[in-house]
Amino acid sequence: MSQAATHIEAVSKARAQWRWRALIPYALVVPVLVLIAVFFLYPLGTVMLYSFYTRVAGGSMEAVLTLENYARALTRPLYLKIIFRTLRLAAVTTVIALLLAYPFSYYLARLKTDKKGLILLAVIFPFWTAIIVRTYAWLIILGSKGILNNILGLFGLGPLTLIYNETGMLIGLVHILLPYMILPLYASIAGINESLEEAARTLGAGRLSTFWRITFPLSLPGAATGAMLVFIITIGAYLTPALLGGPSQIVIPMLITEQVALLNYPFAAALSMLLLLIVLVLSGLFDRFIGLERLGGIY
Amino acid sequence: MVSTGSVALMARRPRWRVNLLALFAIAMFVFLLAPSAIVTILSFSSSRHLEFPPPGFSLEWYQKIMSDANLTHSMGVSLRIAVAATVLAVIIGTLTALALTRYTLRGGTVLRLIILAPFIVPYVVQAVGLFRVFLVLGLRGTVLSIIIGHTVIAIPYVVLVVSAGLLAVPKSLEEAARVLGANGFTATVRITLPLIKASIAASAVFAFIASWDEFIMAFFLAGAGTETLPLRMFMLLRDFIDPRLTAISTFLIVINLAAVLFFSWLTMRTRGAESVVEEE
Repeated sequence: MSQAATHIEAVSKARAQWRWRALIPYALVVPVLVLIAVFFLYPLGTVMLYSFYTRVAGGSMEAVLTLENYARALTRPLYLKIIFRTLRLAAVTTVIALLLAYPFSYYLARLKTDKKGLILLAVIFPFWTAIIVRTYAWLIILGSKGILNNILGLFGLGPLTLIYNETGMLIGLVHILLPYMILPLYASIAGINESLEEAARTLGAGRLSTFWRITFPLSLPGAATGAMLVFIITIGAYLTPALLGGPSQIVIPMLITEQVALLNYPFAAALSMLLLLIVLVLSGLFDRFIGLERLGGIY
Repeated sequence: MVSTGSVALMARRPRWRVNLLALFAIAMFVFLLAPSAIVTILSFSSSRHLEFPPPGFSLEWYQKIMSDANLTHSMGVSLRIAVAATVLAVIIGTLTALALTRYTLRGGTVLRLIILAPFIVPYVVQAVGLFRVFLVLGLRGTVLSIIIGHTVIAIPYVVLVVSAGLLAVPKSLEEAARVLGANGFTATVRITLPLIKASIAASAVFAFIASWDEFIMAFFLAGAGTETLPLRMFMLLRDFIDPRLTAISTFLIVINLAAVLFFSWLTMRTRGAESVVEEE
């Protein structure tokens, strides 16, 4: 009898403890939930709300809901041109980065050396260099009296106009975003079991055929991850387009900033929502086909 | 049947291909590293113009930036913000990582997604929202507003790095401590945290750099006297290509280089620690 009572007592004690223990993880995530709710989700919610507000003269806004801000962004030729430019710039940057990063990552992944750590460090280092520093470096290199034009001058060539236009902006963006493409591609190619390639070769496939039918398909998740990162970071980029592209190359983030400065917050909010929508649609597609958790693997 | 000729051809062709790839890889390394190298070399130039190669060497630009009160002030602002954001993000992020890896959490999948969101949503969109929120709160232009903005964007990095560290440490060590009489809190503090201290340090480096290099949030949130270093550099560059910035850039490059070396050393250590744990 008493043994049974002790047993019951022990069980109920364990249960109480279990209940208490079950609450621990929720207590641990309270700070992050508060932070994200108040300083991330709430601000985004206000941006969404204000994007439907009406701007009144003098720079304030009133709670008269309208679609005017979206209509303005999506119908006026000037703004359509800016939206189209932003998307094209992101697409071109992504394609160039992919074309440069693929053979490079392939080479690094297949390289057999004991200095691999050092070589990878040389790839990661620019990734860690401040964007303002890298943009400034390109201004020095590409400027009208810049280093590149100096060198071209020695051969009697140039000078070329390489900044304050699309070329300069593209060079800077590709340079800044390359590591985002290289790192997932490298991880993905290095993760391919080389015996699969050997098996294909043994079975009579040529080098090219082995690459196209074995290596390339297996590296696609890495390429998709890199492309996704480069695209979404480029459409949100302000600093490099502003400094290397200049006033003739306005992109959505520059337009948003300008509209906030002009006190047209509802229009800036609508443009922000459009940018967010593009990113969310891409993230959704990426999550469906590849899995969002892959984005976390690039540190 | 394969003739000896084609075997010889097959043996030769890959070598040629590899060399072409190697040449391309070298060109890529030059492309990736040359900008930082050029800025660093030019920061020691004695010329008043940005000519390359420099005609001679001097520390003139360094003296000039050290005597510019605005620039030294911005360095202090950036440093204070980055340290505060790092401390906040590491504490909050480590607690989150513990919850996500050491416990079963209802809604864990959704939580993971929400925590990753500040990494995916363009910073300019977040900045537009925070700008208005802090304006209403009367906090726009304060160091605190930038610290909070930077903490939000640093959190995903901390959670990812610390979670990876936690997943590498077997739960059994903590369970052993509990069997031997330690309660959950003691087991976590005395066993788990020391085992992942390298991951926590690595996440701190990541958070620090995320804040230290950040531009657009500071652009929207800073006011007179709270301009961060990247923001100050941008303001100077809008007028003309200021050669003094070579010296500041070199200073930033050195800090980032130290950070990436420290980070790599820490991650190598964690990987070393894993294998030790496995052997035991």
